[in-house]
Amino acid sequence: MGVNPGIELIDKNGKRTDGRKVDEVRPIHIEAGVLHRADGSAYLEWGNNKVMAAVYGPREFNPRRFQKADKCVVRCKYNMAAFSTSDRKRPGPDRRSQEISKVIADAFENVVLTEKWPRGVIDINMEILQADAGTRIAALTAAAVALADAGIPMKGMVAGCATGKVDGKLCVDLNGPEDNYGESDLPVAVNMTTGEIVLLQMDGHLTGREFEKALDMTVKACDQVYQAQRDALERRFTAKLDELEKDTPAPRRGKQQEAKEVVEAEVA
Amino acid sequence: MSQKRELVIAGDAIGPASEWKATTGCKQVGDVVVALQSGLLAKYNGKVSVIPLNGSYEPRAGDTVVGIVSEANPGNWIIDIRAPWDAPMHVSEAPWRVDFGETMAYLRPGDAILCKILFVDGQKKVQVTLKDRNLTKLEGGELMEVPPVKVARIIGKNGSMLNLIKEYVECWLFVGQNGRIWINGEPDEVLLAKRAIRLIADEAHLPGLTDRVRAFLEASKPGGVDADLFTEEE
Amino acid sequence: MEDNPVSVIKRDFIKNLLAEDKREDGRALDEIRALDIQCGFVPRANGSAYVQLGNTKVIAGVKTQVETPYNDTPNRGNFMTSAEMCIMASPHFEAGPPKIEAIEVARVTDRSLRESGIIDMEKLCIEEGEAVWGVFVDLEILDYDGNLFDACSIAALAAVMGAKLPATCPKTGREVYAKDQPLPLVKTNATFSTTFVKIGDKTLTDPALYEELIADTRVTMGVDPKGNVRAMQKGGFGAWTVDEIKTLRKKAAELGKQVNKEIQAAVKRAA
Repeated sequence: MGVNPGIELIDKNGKRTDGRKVDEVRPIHIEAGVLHRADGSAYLEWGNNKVMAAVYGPREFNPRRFQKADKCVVRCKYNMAAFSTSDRKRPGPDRRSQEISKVIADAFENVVLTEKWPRGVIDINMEILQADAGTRIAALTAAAVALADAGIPMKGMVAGCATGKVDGKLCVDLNGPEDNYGESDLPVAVNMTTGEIVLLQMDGHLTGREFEKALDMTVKACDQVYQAQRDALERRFTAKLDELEKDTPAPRRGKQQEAKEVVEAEVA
Repeated sequence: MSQKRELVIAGDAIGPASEWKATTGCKQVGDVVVALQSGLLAKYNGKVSVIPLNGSYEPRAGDTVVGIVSEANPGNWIIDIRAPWDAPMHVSEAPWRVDFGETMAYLRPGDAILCKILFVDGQKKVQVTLKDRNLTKLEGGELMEVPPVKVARIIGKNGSMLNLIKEYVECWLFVGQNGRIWINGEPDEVLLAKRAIRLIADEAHLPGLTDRVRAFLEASKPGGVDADLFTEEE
Repeated sequence: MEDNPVSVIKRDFIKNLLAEDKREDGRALDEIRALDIQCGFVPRANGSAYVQLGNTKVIAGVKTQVETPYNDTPNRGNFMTSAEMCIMASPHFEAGPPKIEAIEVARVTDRSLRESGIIDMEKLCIEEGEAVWGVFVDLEILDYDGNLFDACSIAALAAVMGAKLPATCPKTGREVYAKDQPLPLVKTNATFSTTFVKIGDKTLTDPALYEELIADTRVTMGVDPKGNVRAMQKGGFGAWTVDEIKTLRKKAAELGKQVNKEIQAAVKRAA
């Protein structure tokens, strides 16, 4: 939260520097299933944020001493690429990224049906390729799609957003300049089925009344984020459908032949 | 099959619990049925389930799977069966008389076996066995992996999809329940089978699959395996 | 890099195909996989490129910052390449400090760029003995399906070729140039690597994952399209003959021509 050198962040018409209204989320686009090796993956662009997220597992947690006897562990790694920030970021984990990894892991432990895989681990890796305010929520939003792409059972999708205070006004989803000179930040993630809060952080200064309003605004804004997540998953699984319905090939019937089988396959 | 299937995302309310009984991939929460998994909705006879589009292999006792040996210990082997847990195989479950410490003489890391899940306990400790009919060490051919949730489609109803592949490709095929597939035959035949299986796995959830697989095979190998043996009858 | 054993069946299948000069993905032995290069993928960086080589995916980002020159090179800029093997790239990659393989990839990429002299280091000097530009190339490996060397090297070169030095010093806010200007590049010296592996008695270009994992030996050649050599790295437990290395050097230059065209085109598209 730097000191504003005199930039007007909200104009007299209530419009923000990028033309948004105070309760408007930046454009979000997500693609699911973009990586070849990961069990599930998603690429997200949210404003100028660019994030890649991938999921491996569930798989056995080694070494064994980290295992939980009755459930699997959700392990997160949030990392910023060295070139993602305006000054080059030194590679490797720092205190900030470790904290973010932890709160995101806690959020997903809440929704993933971890009891299905005792002694297991689910690994979530989020790489920030370009950072522009709100990267932790962007990372979490992409990770939730990657989890769904991996087919991991969950009690509900997790979507998130943040609300900050800019020029004394509450605004959802701060952009870069707003984040630099804003007066507070309240990132929240919600289980979209139950409405429960699964991630909550707060930084800066808000009055009690402002806080309550900010929380309501954030939870409401999560709907817009959730819609982008749904769109991505629907496109992932139905993209080919429209194409197929247009032109289904008419096959020539081949000859039936008695299969020479060594092992008869069982039908599931 | 031809009706448009509905995609649900984990957490979606599927319908009132008074009308639908939740089976796999969903759960009754209060008075609604909620999806626990992203996938396609299947409603039938008052029952509802979610067919997942992806997911890990869930071992069940009796499943026949293709495993790869990852470790040979003095008294057992550790088998990778693509499950979230390693599956040990005790020497007594091998079809050979293996002396203590001699496991490497029979199976080495990297060897593939056709094995059966002996049991899975509440703690998800899995044991596999090679002691049953048709279970064996696999030699030759090629292995490929598909999402385990696609196995049923790759096999097809009563093996129809596999039989379709075999109409066109001269090969032996075994599809493990864990989505690991063993294909044996001449390299070119194996490659064609792999492409057909990849097509099935990628488009398993879309309608008209059988026709598309047939069209693909027909285009790759007109007439199928018997084309050069017989002349067209009809 | 990957510690799980490749199944004996997979290994033998690849070898049986190779005996007929065939590969799993249908390529000829000396054919590289489909290459896709997108320059400017990360606009916030000074230069960037997203490269997809088959299913291997890598992003290179260039960052510049003003630094104090080293005492022995008071009028030359600094240049460094690092690589991060993100754990998302493979089920076998683990979190932690850079693995030896990541360091090797970064250093070979670094050498072929640095030694090619493609960047005129003296032109990176802002004020002799006081201030020079440091150019950092960072590689994020996102999806590992074999041959990280070439994917990284191509991405790094494409990112450098499209990179710009900022008009103002990001630290002091002082104006250094009238406007953003391209890195001082020596156009003819575009160098990137081509990797070969040997399996039995067959030599393959651009190994895919399993080809790389079962290879007896590997060699990565940083050669420019004219055949000048800037970096070489032999890897794996096997060995090459002198004649093989000489032949591959020529082949690398030959194959590099097409790749070079694609890099130039990608840089132009983004400009």
